[in-house]
Amino acid sequence: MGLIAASGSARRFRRSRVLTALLSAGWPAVAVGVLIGPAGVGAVTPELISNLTPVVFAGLGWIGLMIGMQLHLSVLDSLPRVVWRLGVLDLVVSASVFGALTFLAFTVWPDSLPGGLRSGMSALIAASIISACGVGWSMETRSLRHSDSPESARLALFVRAAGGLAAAFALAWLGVASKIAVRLHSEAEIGGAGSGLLLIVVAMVASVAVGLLGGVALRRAGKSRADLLAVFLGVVALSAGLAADLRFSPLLASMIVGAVLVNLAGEPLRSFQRFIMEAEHVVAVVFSLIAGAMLTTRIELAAVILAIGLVAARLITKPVIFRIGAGAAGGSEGGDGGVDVSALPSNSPLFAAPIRQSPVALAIAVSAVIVTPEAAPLLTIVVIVGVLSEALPLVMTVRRGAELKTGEADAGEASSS
Amino acid sequence: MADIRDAGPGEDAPVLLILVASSSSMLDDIITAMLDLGISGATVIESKGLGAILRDEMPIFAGLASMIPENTGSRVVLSATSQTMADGLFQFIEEELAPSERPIALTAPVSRFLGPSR
Amino acid sequence: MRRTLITQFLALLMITALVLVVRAVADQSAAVALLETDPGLLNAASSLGLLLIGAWFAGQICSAISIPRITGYIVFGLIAGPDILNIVRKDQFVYLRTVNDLAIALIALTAGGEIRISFLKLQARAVAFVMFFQMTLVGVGVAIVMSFFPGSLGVLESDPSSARVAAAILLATVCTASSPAVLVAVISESRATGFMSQVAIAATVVKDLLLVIVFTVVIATTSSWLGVSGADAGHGAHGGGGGSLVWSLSKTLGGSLVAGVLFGIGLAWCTRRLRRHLPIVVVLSCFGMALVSQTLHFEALLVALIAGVLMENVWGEESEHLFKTIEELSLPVFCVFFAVAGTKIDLQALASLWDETVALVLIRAGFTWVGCWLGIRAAGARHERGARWMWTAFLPQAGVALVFVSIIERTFTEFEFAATLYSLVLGMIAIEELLGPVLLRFGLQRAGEIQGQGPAGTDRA
Repeated sequence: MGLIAASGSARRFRRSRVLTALLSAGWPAVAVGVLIGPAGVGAVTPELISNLTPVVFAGLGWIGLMIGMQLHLSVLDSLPRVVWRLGVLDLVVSASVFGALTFLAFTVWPDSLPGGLRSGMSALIAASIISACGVGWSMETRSLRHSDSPESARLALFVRAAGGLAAAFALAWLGVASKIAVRLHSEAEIGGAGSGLLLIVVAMVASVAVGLLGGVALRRAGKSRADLLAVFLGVVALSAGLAADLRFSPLLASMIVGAVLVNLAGEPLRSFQRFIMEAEHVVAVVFSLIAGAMLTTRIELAAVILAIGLVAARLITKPVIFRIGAGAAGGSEGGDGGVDVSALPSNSPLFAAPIRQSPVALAIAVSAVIVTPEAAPLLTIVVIVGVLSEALPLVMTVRRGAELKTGEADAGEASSS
Repeated sequence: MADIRDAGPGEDAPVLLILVASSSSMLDDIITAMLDLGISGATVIESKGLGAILRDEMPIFAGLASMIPENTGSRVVLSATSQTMADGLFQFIEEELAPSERPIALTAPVSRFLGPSR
Repeated sequence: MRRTLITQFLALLMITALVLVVRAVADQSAAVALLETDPGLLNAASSLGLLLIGAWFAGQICSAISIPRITGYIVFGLIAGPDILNIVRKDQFVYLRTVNDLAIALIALTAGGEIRISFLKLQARAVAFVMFFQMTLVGVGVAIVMSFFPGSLGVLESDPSSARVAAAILLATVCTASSPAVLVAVISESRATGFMSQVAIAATVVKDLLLVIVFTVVIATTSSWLGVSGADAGHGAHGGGGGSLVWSLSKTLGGSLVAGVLFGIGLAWCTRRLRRHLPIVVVLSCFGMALVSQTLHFEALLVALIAGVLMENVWGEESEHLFKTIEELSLPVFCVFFAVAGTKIDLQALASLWDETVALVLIRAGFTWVGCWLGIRAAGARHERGARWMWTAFLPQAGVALVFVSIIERTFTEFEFAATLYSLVLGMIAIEELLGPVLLRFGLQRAGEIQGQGPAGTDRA
């Protein structure tokens, strides 16, 4: 499926904006995963998924690394201040709102907490995971753009850049929040205030060390693609694996490794970056398949209500955050890089872009489930939120497309008459 | 070499040589080969492939990636030269470069040319 | 160069130390212990990463001192494994199996790509005679010699007299196996090509496939001699009788053949249409072959081999891109595969039967040399460059021998010799894995088949 999606023939489907949106989000792959997984025909068994754990960890490492490798200092330096402001605003608001909603839901309906969570974790931990999933948004903009105007292009770039930064924030929040949540939940058992902090410090230091040693290896590998691939895969698996040893987020650990690598490794890695980025769609589809196979269809009604609540929260908070962040400085020239939102029609689907859930949310949920399979209902909640949050932007896209077609038709008739 | 404006039908006909190099190392190879063969004039244009454009508009995890300079990738090399020179360059590409390191290369006939003499 | 060597060595030490430190911190931390998850499962990921990058560094170091890289991979695996540092523990092996399966499929695909029908037509005699004489001499020779030393085989005086013969024959069958994986890895790494490489690959692959049948028959026969159920004999055999055995084997081999053809067709299509993502095509195809073979009880080695042979000989143009991609992918796969093989080397077994193991290795090497020499002479290929050194290609042993001896151990549990054979063969594999690649590379060098060295043999183009 991944290869077909990435092939030249499949690009034809990207003419349709609706299909573009769905394919980029990976929902068809998730659906196939559900079909072939234990919840469907059972071609993929829980045992097989368990045996694939090191590979899934490596996949999480790959995703984290890919996000980290965007964090080139020169790129971060060149980001307008408004992008940073939007990212931070989204992190604070989304993490608070989504975390609070989740905590409330699992406190009011404790029976709806996934089984494994009841034993080792709590509503707080579930809240930390879901809150991280709520940060950021889908970065695909092709389906939402109907015009080539400079403001439209600028806003689309803004959506992608801020979304990319938000993805990094989401991983950072996940790493810290989930560790704090575990510590707060079981203070008596952990035995000491410093224990959790020590683990976080060790995990981060280990990630930096892996990044530095990876840089040494990459420089040694030179231009040989075979050696570069071996080193890259080793770094990916090692960073995610060490994080797993410390029960730290593999996504955050490998993001740190990626950031260190991209800023230190120099030319050998840059030439390899294209290969890594070009594989993004294929990796995403395969990962979506795995996510679909891992989720469970047996969830409590309370979890479904929570999912709907989270979608509603996205519908309300995200456009507000975005409008404030994007148009804060006003004017597309000067200021701190804001977008002149008044230059775009108010029903431009681009404004609805932040409502759509980020694909990183799926990776975050998978990273929780792979460690604690009983947490599969959390993954299901994330998938429900993701699917439902596509609805409004899709509707806006279709309507806008229809309006423009009608407008063109009217203009055509007017000119011919 | 004779000015390609002077070549008539049946002689070493002028062609427009178009090469698309997807990486800087590929471009280096092409430029070196062109110079070795005596093709001294060419225009290099920064370009982007269709796939790259689609990828830019459809990032999944890496929204900032399109802002990384190395990812904006290709170069198009245009050169008006003779058929013989073009054949020489094609031969170099086929013999010296591995399939994965070869640029896209094509020639188109030139019926008129106006430019500085070489 | 010395500075580079030191840097690499230090980097290797630091990576290993990093993993040890992190594991130590994790083991001490109560917070980590809070979550009840199988530690083998979680630690497997860091073990995989360490094996990959650590083996890579070790390979680089070995390459710098003219030793085959795979020796570095194996040695690093041995050091990281349960017998020394215990970073890669036995409870993680099951989670590393998936990557191992991928490796086997990839290696077999590569081996298939090395088999050119045009070459085989010219050298069919050489392949057939070398294979026949090597198998026969080693099998018969080792069986006869070892039957005179029943004590070394663990045969007790209380065992029936047929146990002595059975143990010797079983051991001899295992000794006949050699490792296509090591052969392909060393040939691929040194870019060797020529008479020796191609005949050795063809002979080894065909021999190992025939050995599956031979071994199944030997297990069934010796089981009946000793009054043991042959239910675990070979691949897919059901131990019910000769007829069901033949049917089972036919099903396995026939199904593998068909599956191989289908995968070959699929690969050719993918190569033509999805050229940009060939690495992923190859990885997913190899996983597919491994999973399908496991599910349908086919021989993964054969499936991938047939696919590789088809690609090389039927779709030549597509195969060039495919095998170039496979070559790029082979490196990380070999790193993991041989490092994992290194972790499974049993030093205790080696130490406990050191004298017997060394004797067995020497006897096997001697008969291998004689067998190849006779085979070459019989084929009239004495004057081919590399013929003299052909024997070094049949020394390395790995997975196939291990699988055979595991089956022996499971089948003859009530006899002491089963455990002794197991330890003996493990020890032999340990020595062959460590020394075999070095000798093989030496042989290839002397044969002048390493590219850039002397006149090349047949060329891929």
